[in-house]
Amino acid sequence: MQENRLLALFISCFCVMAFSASSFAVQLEPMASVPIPTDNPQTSEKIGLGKKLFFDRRLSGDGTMSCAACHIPEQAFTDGQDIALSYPTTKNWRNTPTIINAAFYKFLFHDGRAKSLEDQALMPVGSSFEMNLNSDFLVEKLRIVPEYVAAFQKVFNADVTKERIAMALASFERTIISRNAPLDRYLSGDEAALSEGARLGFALFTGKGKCIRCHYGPHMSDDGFHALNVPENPDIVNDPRMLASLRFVAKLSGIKDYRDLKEDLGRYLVTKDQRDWKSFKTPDLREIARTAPYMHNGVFATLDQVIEFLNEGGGKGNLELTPLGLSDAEKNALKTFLTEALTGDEIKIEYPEIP
Amino acid sequence: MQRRNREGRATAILLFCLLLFFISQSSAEEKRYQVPLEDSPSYGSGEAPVTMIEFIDYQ
Amino acid sequence: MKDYRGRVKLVIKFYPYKYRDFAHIAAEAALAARDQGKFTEMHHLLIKKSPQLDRKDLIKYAQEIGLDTKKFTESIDNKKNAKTIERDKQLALSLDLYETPTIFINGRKVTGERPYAYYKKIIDEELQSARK
Repeated sequence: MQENRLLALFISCFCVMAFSASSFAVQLEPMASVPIPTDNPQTSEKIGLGKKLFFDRRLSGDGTMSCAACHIPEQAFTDGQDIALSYPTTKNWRNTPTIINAAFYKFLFHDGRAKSLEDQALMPVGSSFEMNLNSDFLVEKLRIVPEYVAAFQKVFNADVTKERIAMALASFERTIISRNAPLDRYLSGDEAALSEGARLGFALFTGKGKCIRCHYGPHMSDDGFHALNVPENPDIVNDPRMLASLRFVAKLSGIKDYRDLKEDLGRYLVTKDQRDWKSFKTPDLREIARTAPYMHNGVFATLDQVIEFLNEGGGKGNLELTPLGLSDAEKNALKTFLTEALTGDEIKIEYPEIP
Repeated sequence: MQRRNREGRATAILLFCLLLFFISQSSAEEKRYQVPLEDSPSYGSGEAPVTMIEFIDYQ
Repeated sequence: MKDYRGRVKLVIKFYPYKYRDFAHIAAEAALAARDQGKFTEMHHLLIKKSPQLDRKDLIKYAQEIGLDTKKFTESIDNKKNAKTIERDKQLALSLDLYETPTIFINGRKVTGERPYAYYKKIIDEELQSARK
């Protein structure tokens, strides 16, 4: 009898240890230094050039849009809408992700189709429902502007090219970083940096809420893709123009049955791997208080709705999440953590003079 | 087990107080710009409680 | 705007983009019409007819709304209201505006062309707090 009990005790201790070990295998970390690729080092001139390009409406077909049209500095570099703003007469079909901390992602876009900021930068320029400009034409548009010609010479010691336009834009984007959030101070040892409620939320985030399983590291993302079965945005079916954009993207992605498509297939569009069906990138949660509405299609207007969705175990039929059983007080604590701990200093831009 | 219940209750009360505190804070600071009207043309009621200033490009 | 008669005032400032060929002259047209007391009519017509905003179109519109076309034509040819437009443009630059339309609703900045519902929400919020 005694031996059995000892054995049971031993096994339970082992299980507890193993469980704890897996819980702490990933953790939240304070902000790290920004990763800079060796083939695109930062210089202040390059950042300045990238900033001009970012705000320059020349980068759109009819001069109405710039990158900053949807990535509005005062709105945390997004546009505050469920579905992004779009090129006149068209409709976009996904939510504008923030530029803040984009420098840390392994992949860009909700479906991760770009593998670096440089890779991403010209994609919206060429997108028919975003900036709608052929980037080869963009090069010629810039080549007739003496200030740009001079700037490219100064920065790259070379001519304006698509690659260099992308490099400059990426360089500017690498300066848009969330800093000095209470979480960073807390993780560096300042116990008082978080309120009691936020600390409770932190415990839930890393414990019962299981958030940390995907949202970990300095930029709170596993750089992975998960299918939570978020409800489709009803506008997709209600607005035919949105459907046109959705199907256009599917067509370009090589989806054979794009004609009848009414859903966002997420990462599957990029990899054609069944395991990626309706998977979307785990976003960085920093600055989340400022970047409503939420999810790849902006379908949740408030964090309460997001937390409720996750508490219920995600959307119907998803294989990633299980119901959490959070009480109202716990849900509020989680929200307090998200809004209080992850909001850093407001990022103030000195607006560029566009040539 | 009992101790955790007592702690849990105290935390819940504290949490509730903090929640009230944060709710009062969160009807936040909408940034407002002071834009001079000058003699710019306008329409709509002069006495209106809401003024919209639009920077427009007709083309 | 019709929903809000009596409760919202709309003030127009001009921020023509230099690469849109008729943006500037259209702004002149709006102000020339204002000088003859018909700003609102011209303003709506310009929005409706855009991008058909070259000189001959603008004179046609002036006729349509019953302006003195000789005065109107002189005004836009001589850039009579260039100072106002330049003043508005400088104001826009000082506010770091990089996009049109940019609309301030009781000072709250909204950048870019938004669906009506987006503006409505903010207007309603402002009307609510004005009532208090």
